Order: sequence, then C-alpha cells, then structure tokens
Amino acid sequence: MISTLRERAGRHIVLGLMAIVTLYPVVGIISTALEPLHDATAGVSFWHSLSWSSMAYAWSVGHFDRYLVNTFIVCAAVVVSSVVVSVFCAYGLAVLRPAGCRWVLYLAILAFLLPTESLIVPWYYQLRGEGLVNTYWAMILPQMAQSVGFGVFWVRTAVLGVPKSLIEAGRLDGASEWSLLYRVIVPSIYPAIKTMSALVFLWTWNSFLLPLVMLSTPSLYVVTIGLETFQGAHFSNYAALAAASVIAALPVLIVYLFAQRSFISGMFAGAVVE
Amino acid sequence: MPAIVILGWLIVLPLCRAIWYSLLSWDGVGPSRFVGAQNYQQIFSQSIERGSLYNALILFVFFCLIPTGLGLIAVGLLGRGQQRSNAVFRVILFLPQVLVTVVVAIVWTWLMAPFGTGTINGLLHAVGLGPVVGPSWLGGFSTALGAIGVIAVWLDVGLCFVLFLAGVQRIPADLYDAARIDGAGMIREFIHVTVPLLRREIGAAITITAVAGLGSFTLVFEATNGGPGNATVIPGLLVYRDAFTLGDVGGATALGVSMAVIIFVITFGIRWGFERRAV
Repeated sequence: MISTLRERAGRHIVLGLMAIVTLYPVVGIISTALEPLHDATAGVSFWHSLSWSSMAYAWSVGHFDRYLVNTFIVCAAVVVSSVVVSVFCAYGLAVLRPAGCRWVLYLAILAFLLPTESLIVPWYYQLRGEGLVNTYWAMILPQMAQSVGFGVFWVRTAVLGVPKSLIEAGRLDGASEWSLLYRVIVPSIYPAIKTMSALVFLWTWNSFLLPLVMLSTPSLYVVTIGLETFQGAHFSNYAALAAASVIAALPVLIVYLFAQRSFISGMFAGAVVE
Repeated sequence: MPAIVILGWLIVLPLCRAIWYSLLSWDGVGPSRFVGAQNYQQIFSQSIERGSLYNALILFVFFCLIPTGLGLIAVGLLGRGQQRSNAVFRVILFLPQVLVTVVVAIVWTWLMAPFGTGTINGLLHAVGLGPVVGPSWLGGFSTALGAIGVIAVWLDVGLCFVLFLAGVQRIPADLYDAARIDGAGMIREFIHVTVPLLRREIGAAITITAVAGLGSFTLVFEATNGGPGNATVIPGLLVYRDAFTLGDVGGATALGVSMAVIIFVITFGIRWGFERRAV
C-alpha cells in the first residue's frame, strides 16, 4: 500500500507517544532501583548517582534469594506437569477421539475461564482437608489445574494442525500409538509447546491470590508475596522497594525478551482460532 | 487419561463445593447453617456488595472498552505499514502484560502520589497544567477508581494493539485498494473495511480483557486494597475479604459463583454476538 510521507511520519509519532507512555513507568522503576540506598527521594526519581546498594539491600534483607528459588520451583513444576498432561490429553482428544471427548474439552475450557477468585475459597478448604495447605503442593496443584485446562485446549488446536498424511504415513510404517506421539506429533507441534510453556510460566510466576491464601510460612513465599510483605515493612524506602520489584520482575522479563515472538503470537492465535 | 482425573478433582469438585458453601452461613470453623438463597440476596441488598459490582462495571469500561478502542484507533492510524518498525513497537507495547502485576501496582502507586518529581502531578506541573501539589489520584474518593482504570488501560492497550495488528495483516490488500479507488479517505476506510474485518479479533480482545477485568484481584489489592473507604472494592477483593478476613464463607462463595456466572454470560454473549454474522 502506498503511503505518503506525512502518513508515515504521523504513524511514527503516534506509536512513539504510545511507546513512551508505556515505557515511562518501567524506566522509572529501574532507575529508582539503582538509586543509592539512603538517598531515597519520594517516588520515582531519575537524577541521582547510580549504585547497586539498594539492590543488594533488597536481596539480603528481603530474602529474595529464597523467594526466587521457591518461585522457580513452583513455576517449573507447573510448567512441566501441565505440558506433559496436556500433550497426552490433547493427543487423545485430537487423534484417538474416544467417546465423550467433547465434554473433556468443555471441562478444559471451563477450567481456564474461571477466575481464581471464584475457586479460591473451596480450593482452600479442600486442600486444608488434605493437609496440603502451606506446602508447595498448595501452589502447584490449583495452578496446574488451570494450566492444564489451557494446555489441553491449546495443544489440541496444535495437534489438529498436524497434516493427516503425516499421521497416516506413521501408521503405515507400523508405528504404535506411543511412538507416533513421540516421533511425529511432538516435533510437529514443538512451537506451540514452547509458547504454552512461556505463557504458563508467566502466569504462574504472576500468581498472587493463590499463594496469598495458601501460604503462611515466610520461608515458602514466592516473589509476589515476598514483594508484598517487603512493601509492608519498607513502605517509604523507595529505592529498596524499587530494587525488590525489579528483582521480582526480572526473570520473566528476560524470558520475555528472548521469547517474545512466542509470547505474542501465542497469546491470541489461540483465542482467535477458537 | 489422567487429565480428566486432575481436572475433575481440582475443578469440578471445588465448583460444586463452592455452590454448596454459598448456600450456607458459615464461619469456616464452627458448625454451619443452611440458609438457602439468602447469601445471594445479600449481594443485591448490601451496599458494599452492590457497590463492588457497580465498580466492576466501571472497571469493565476501562479494562475492556477503552483499550480495545484505543488499540483499534492505533491500528487504524498505522495502516499496514512496514514490518520492521512494527516489530519493535510490538515488543515495547506488549511489555506491560509481562510485568509482574504487583510491581505494576507499586510503580503506579508512586506515579499517582500527590507530589514529587517524576509523578504524574509533577509532569503536569512541568507542562504548566497544574499546581505543585495535586490530588492524590489513588487516594481520592472520586478519583481512585478512575486511577485504577488508567493503570488497566496502560496494561491492556498493548495487548489489544498487538492483537489487532496481527489481524490487520490478514486483511487482503485488494480490499483497501478497492476502497481507495472508490474514493474513501482514511476514516472511511477504517470504518468500513478495517473494523468489520477485525470482528473476530475484537471479540477475542473484549473477552480476554473483560475476564481479566472482572478478576483483577492483584492489582486492586496492591494499589488500594479497596480504599479509600470502599471506593475501589471489586467482587474479587470482596471474596478474599469475606472469606478470610471476615469469616463469611457463605457470602464469599456466593460472590465467587456469581462472578463465574457473569463471566460465562459475557464470554458466550460475545461469541454469540460477534460470530453471528460470519464473514
């Protein structure tokens, strides 16, 4: 499409403005995080000398090493388990198609549409009954349920996209269902699996209400809760708080920058295809 | 298939329990009494609960309609321009979605403070638009909800924009050329070509943002915790409060179930409304 110079300039200006508005808070908080610890002026600040002291403070006093480890454990567990379960289930739904598979699909969609807020109360009591409150399981299991819901839906769409001919060829070669899965399906849908992992990782990392309700021992906290308690204790120490926030958000941000293609195309290729 | 077991145990069962709980009056520890629909009635009679629904509706506008609208406009202005600069903007604008919500809330709390450098008030002042000490956006009774709305827009515009951008790429160029030949200017082109053909994407955007908006516990909890007073209470927050702070499990679950129902209605309503006239 031919576009005039004016159109192009206008376009860039608008986008540029949006980008600036979007980035301003992000840059602000990073800048504040690098402020020397005891210089802290109120709120977001830019004009100051750079120092790591705030980051170091947040790290040690805020026990973020512990929190990061916990969060990683939970996220890894959720991602791995959800992916595995989803792949199996989606394979079954898309290829094997037993009776009643429609209902399983609906159940999966239900699982991931329902907000955490709706389910949090019964989850709490149910897990309490099993003695699982205040453990890693309490954070992993419900999150896994929601992620599997998403995963089944997502992977199934991907599996449906594998050309039938490929599967037929595999069957003709005498492959069993298992090796069909490993050798044919999984390699074909690898990008979809990557996207799903990235998304589940993000969502699990971000979960707040769930750990808030389930955990009461500080040594088990994840970064979201850790940040919250840190904020309570260091409310006016802006530099330290900014530093803590940056620590909490950094891992996901790094993953994002590396995998942003996956993230973005992932988030809605599914929603729209639906 | 183990997936069924997992889903069944963790989703269906709690859901049924939630419905059951919502029919009781219980403090989570002692014995329970069956009170039927009373809890649901309370949702409409108690002003806090009614207020939370009302707030949720307002936030719906912010979370959902405004970002969708802005995203559409942005894409309309953008046209189907070059690939490379698009990619950069995509990454930048999508960034808010990837940040931990707690962090987002904290930063914005600072930005919305009454005074100080780098805050919104400070910037307005620098441009000559306001006094040095302006309102505390998140602390004022009438502005707090709007302030949260602004944060929500910041978060969601990127999502909508990127979504629509992807959708626009799929519209064949001939349609635009045909419109141009027929003498349509940019605005006409936008209304008659772009918007109708983005119908699916618009539907998806509204669904995603609406569902996120109705939940959004984290943002509200961190930024204002329902304050000042009860100005920014949303249903999600109430569920937490009622169940775990006030010990009103029945009421909380009633609210939770209602939220779920509302979400369903919206989701299916949107699908029905948008996919009716297939392109």
